[in-house]
Amino acid sequence: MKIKPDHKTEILMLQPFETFLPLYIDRLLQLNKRYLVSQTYKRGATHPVEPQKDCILLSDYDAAGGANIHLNAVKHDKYAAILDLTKPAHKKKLLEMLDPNSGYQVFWAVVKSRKDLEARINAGYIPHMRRYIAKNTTWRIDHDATVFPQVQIAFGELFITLKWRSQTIRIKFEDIENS
Amino acid sequence: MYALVDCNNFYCSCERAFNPKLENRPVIVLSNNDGCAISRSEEAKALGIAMASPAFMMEDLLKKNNVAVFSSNYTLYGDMSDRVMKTIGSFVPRMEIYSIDEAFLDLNDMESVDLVQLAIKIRSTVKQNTGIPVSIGIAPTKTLAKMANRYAKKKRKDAGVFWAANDDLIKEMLEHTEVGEIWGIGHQYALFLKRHGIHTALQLSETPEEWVRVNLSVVGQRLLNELKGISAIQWEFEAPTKKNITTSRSFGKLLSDAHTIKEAIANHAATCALKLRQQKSCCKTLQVFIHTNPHKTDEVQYSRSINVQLETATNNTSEIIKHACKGFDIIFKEGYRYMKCGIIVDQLVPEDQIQHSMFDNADRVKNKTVINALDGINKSLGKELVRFAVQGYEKKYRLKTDYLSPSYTTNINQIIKVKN
Repeated sequence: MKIKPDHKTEILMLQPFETFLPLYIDRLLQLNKRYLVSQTYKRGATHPVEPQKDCILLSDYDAAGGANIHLNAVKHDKYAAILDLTKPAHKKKLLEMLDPNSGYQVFWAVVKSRKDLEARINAGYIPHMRRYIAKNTTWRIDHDATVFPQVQIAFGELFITLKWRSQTIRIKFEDIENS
Repeated sequence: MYALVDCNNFYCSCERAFNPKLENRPVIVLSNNDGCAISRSEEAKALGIAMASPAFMMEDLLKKNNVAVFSSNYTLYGDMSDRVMKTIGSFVPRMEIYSIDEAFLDLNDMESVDLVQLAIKIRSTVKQNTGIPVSIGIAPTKTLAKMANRYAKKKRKDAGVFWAANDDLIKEMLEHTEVGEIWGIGHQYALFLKRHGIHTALQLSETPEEWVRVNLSVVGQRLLNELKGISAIQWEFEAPTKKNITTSRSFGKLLSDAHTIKEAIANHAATCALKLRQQKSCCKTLQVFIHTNPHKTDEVQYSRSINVQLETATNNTSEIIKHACKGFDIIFKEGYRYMKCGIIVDQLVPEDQIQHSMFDNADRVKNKTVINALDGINKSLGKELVRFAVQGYEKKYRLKTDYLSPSYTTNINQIIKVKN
């Protein structure tokens, strides 16, 4: 049986990243992070603000090499592009996207506190994780046992690593949410 | 997550690191005795020089295209490998050195690190510290990491990094990898799989588990798990002890003189004994072999080996040399031109688990003290500084190394000079 995503499940999707603000452009340039890779961000669509807007996720890089690797990884995405903040045309386009009246909601692939995020996941997704583990692994975890979830961001996508005893699994966070 | 760091055309890159004039010029490194090409720069590959091409068959091609040719300089490559591995090791908590130019990195406890940035940093630091270019593949298993590395070299040449971070990227990589290129699939298995319509790694990963277990055994099933992202190959942070040790070399020229060949046998025996002591083992049997050149069809041929069973297992150089020379005296025949000789030590046992013999007259405690002193001197003052007389000094049998580069990093007399 396939469960259609409804309003309730969409609201439950975790949105861990920061909203990208115009003031970050100069700050990134000061840090020599001149490249931004853009891609579609479906987690942003569950954000209560302006749900009808197209959501874009930006990841920052200090060198073209890293940005190119990221771009290659998301090359089939319709919003996949490299923005070079030192190029006026790119900067202008980004500022247009950041305008509150634009059709875009822009996020930045950074979390303010990894610990807070992991605590949020621990607080809100323990039943999901238990269901996922029971269904997809041979782990037999006692009710009071501890499983350590750790978050990883890979090419704008959220992954979770679960460790129990000497075993480790790495799963798309989306799969945990859907469990 | 695992990463495989692999040096690009390692031997050629080592030669280039100390000779910048070789940049953009085709470079090849030849095997022992300047036989075949064993490492080729990208420019040499573009000329169509295949791996293991015999040097004498491509003399015109090498001259015409101004190819820089080098004899293999393992002293240099070994030292450069140490430097590369030390640099890589400083970035991760655990590392498995897989070969002279490859290492697996354990990235499992590095969730908070951006692995792309880390890989780029490793690449640039190794290049800056050693001058050696490396490629990096990152994936959930060792087999996939090895494949990711190959994929990075082929399809992501500029970046030199490929991270198979999600299912789509793993699928893309599997789709572009032929079954014969999978780590663990040999030539015969590749032919077998192709006969059954399995041409790519993706097709193999989608093959039913039962079919794989029946046709490729449990090893194939392990491989299948690895391709599916389930780690099935354990870490080997320390190399396992060897079950036998072989030391053999072709002579630089064909030899008939028993004295010179015996000198080579004694040196090979001493090398075997040293390797045994390094892994804290003793051998119970040793094999001595000699043979003429089978490719010289106009000459009379002779090939012989002998197994010598030792009364008590040993790793003492003098004992091993003594038995090897005895064996050699039995199998050697005058009147032939020999090409190669060697020693194989077998039936290895840990040095603290030796079964002593009732009739053994050797003073093993004293012998051990002597050999420990010899090892200590050679380790601190120079390789083979103290040796047994039968090992000689001349080494007339020495390998042909017409194109040998200096040992830039290990010999003070050959250190690179900066001109004003």
